Amino acid sequence: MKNLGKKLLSLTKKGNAIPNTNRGEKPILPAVLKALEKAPTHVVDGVTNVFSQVTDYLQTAEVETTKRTEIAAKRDVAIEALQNQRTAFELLMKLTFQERAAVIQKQFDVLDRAMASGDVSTVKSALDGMVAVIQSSPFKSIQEMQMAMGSKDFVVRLE
Amino acid sequence: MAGGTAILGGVIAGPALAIIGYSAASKSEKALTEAFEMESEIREAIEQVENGNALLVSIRERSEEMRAVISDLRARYLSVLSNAEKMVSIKLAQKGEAEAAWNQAGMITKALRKVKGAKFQDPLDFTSFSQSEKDLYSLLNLFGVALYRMIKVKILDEDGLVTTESEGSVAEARLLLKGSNSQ
Repeated sequence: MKNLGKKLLSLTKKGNAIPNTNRGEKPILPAVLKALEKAPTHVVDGVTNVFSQVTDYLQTAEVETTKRTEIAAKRDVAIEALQNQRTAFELLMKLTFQERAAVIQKQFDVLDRAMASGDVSTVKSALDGMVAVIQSSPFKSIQEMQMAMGSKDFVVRLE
Repeated sequence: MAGGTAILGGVIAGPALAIIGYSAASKSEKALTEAFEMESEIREAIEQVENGNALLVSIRERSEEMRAVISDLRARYLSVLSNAEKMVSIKLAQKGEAEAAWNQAGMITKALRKVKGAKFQDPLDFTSFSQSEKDLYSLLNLFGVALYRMIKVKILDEDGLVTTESEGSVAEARLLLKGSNSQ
């Protein structure tokens, strides 16, 4: 009986495993222990087992709740990172394609003017420029960004 | 008697049921955590698939960009080609006429040609082209070469994979989109 009392008290002191349901009121545990002093052995054993299961459950619940909180935190960080990367990638691609489209449009304007005036050398320049734009991969800007971000010497100059 | 049995039964069964209940609850907590972990993995995988979609969308945009430029260039090439074909058909007609005139010449004219060493002037000979005709020919060449170089640019190979030229760049993009797992 004393052993049981010690065990329960140590549990309540250690990790607050048993919740104090009547907080602010008279503690329930000493009253239970006192009542059990006169109880038969098999009743004490039964109560001990129940308390043991309750404390085990409460400990497990605490541990599992902590694990779930940790999992949720890691998941949120990972999802946030993925979403941010997607947003950055989509923005970079959008701006890259817009820039390329503007360059190509200018080259077509130059090409049309040169064709109208019969300026063969300007036609050649415009066509060469267009081929260069098409041959260059728009994904290269991703590479450049990755390299710039990965370099410790990367500096953003604001002028 | 019956009431006593019921109370005694309750006294024995109550703690046993409580123990079973708490044991089951402990297992449920663990199972809930496992389910939680699985759900987190699935949600991360969904985000990674979304990132894969973003990459595919940009590959599609690249294809659309190439298609639009090649299509616009082709329209201009066809216009130049049409002019060149007209020029060639005129030249062919001129050649026919010139050959007929050359062959139908009299004996004296033919003898004089031999003495002077005169040769038949082929209207399709490039050196005999006017400057505007040479320019038209050059334009045709320039457009042909430009279109050929553009058409040769590959995004995907025969197996539907990104070409080695684009592979490095796309791999970087994929790495960027892969997420925190790779960091």
